[in-house]
Amino acid sequence: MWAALGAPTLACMQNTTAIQDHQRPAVETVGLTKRFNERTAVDDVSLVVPRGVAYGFLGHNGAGKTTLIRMLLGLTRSSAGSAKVLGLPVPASRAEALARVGAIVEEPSFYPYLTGRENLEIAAAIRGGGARKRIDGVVRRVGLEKRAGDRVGTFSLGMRQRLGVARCLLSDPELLILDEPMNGLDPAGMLDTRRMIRELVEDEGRTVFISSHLLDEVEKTCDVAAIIDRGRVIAQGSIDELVADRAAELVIECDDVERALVLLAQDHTVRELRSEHGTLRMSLIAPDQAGAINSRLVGAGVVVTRLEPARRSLEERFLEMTTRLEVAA
Amino acid sequence: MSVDLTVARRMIWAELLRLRKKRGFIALVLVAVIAPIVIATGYDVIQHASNPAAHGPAGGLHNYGRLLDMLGIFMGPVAAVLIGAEAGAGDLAAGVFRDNVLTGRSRTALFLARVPAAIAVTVTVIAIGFVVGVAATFAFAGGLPTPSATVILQSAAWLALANTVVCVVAIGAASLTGSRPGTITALIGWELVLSPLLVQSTTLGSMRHGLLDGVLLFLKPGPATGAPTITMSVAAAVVVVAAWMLVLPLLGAWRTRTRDA
Repeated sequence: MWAALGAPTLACMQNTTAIQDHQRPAVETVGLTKRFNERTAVDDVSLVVPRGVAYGFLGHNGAGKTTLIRMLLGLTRSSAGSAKVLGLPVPASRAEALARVGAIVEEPSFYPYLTGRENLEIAAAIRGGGARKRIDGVVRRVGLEKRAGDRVGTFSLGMRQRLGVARCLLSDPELLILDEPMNGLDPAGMLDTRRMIRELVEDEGRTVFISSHLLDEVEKTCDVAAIIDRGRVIAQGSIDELVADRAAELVIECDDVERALVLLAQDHTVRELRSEHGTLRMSLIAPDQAGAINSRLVGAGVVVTRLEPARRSLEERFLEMTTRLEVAA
Repeated sequence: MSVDLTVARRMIWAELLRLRKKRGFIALVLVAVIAPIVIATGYDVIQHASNPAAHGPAGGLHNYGRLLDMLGIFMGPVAAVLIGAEAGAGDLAAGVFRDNVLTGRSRTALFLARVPAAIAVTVTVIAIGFVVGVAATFAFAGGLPTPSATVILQSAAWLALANTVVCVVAIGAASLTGSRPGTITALIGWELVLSPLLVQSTTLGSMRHGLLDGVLLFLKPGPATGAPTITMSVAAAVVVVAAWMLVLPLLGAWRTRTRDA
């Protein structure tokens, strides 16, 4: 699956340590757990975030997203389990890892009485390295060159978010961790942020880890996602995999819906069948029966004009999974 | 090592930038230091002009002693507390502390960068007040004696010491509590009300030797102004000043290292 998402190919694998390091997952957690007294905020979370993707970490408010991010960044200690960021164990090698990471936790904060550029100068001074030389570039990168000389107190939330990303980029990070980057943005701001994240991934080869409760945005922005509910990861994989129905729901359009209904009602591979607005929707017992269904209909003289897997939104899938867990609880 | 020093220098510069660019705050601090000097001198000038027989000139050595009290014991330390509290907890108040921590830079380094920057701003502000005060001392001396160059230099060093100590204590307290308003209220209350009362309270005996105000008044150069003084050895005074400069900053550094970001 990761190969399809742009993970390094075998040909790229050289013997140098640096390249091997580059091939390690951007984030890897094993059994990561955080307890606050009796309450378990993050429960036995094992994640693998591959390199060079936009990774969505999806969950309701209070599901444990920010707590997990805080553990990854060494802002709070885990109660159990382990985490690696860019192949480095945290918190043991936190400083080394964070030198290659840009992160915004909750919302980006700045000194409101300083200009955008001055805020970046302060951040660059603390970062060290070549951060100061990157200020002009990152300001252009996030499209704030005309406002960088204005006081941050006059900035809109969207501009502060972009300035926050600019601050992250000062260290030329391999990994960006953005906690709820779409929060409070208007539709134009969301679109800007989405484009920027896609460019960071596709044009610059960075890994972007986004936590969000906005399912639609994760679906539009991310390649891979994990769904967290009440501290537990209940699903992870590519967006396509997550939205795919394991019961293999099919949508069929044909010239004779009534006849197709009769034929398929007698088919033992069909679990559920219904007609919706002139199309047939069915769930199959086994997902590999779509071809057989097509043959059966065509063999019976029904002209099939469309047959495809039903694609549900991530939101539907998310609600289905979390509701199922609530019922089970 | 040179890379570390470069980073340290830039971090101090960054702290200095954020302090000095807070223009309203710097204006407030300057007013707190200069306004009492201007008001007191102006009042004395008017009184002397209206009745020279009853009221002496507004300058001269006697008034110079009052200037030192103002800058070293009262309004100077108020300014030092304001600057120290801003340096110690300004990043927390703005929510930037977490972002600074996320750079991976050591929290101790983040704390240490606050100290020289805040001292630089404090000393600059006090120096401006001192220059204004010394100018008034000479300009309005009339026939009174004026302080010698040696006394002026000793006074400058003492003012730098007194306000640096208070500033560092304020940085430590603000870093420890994470609260600017709390630190400012507590330390100004201590500096202007509680500490002067305790210095005068002879029933406390040798316990007063631990009071910063008492020690600073003991070390004060120039003419006596009637302010209560505590007698002790210079070595003991140095130990007390060092203790004040170490204890709260160490606690502040510890809290900066352990604080939940």
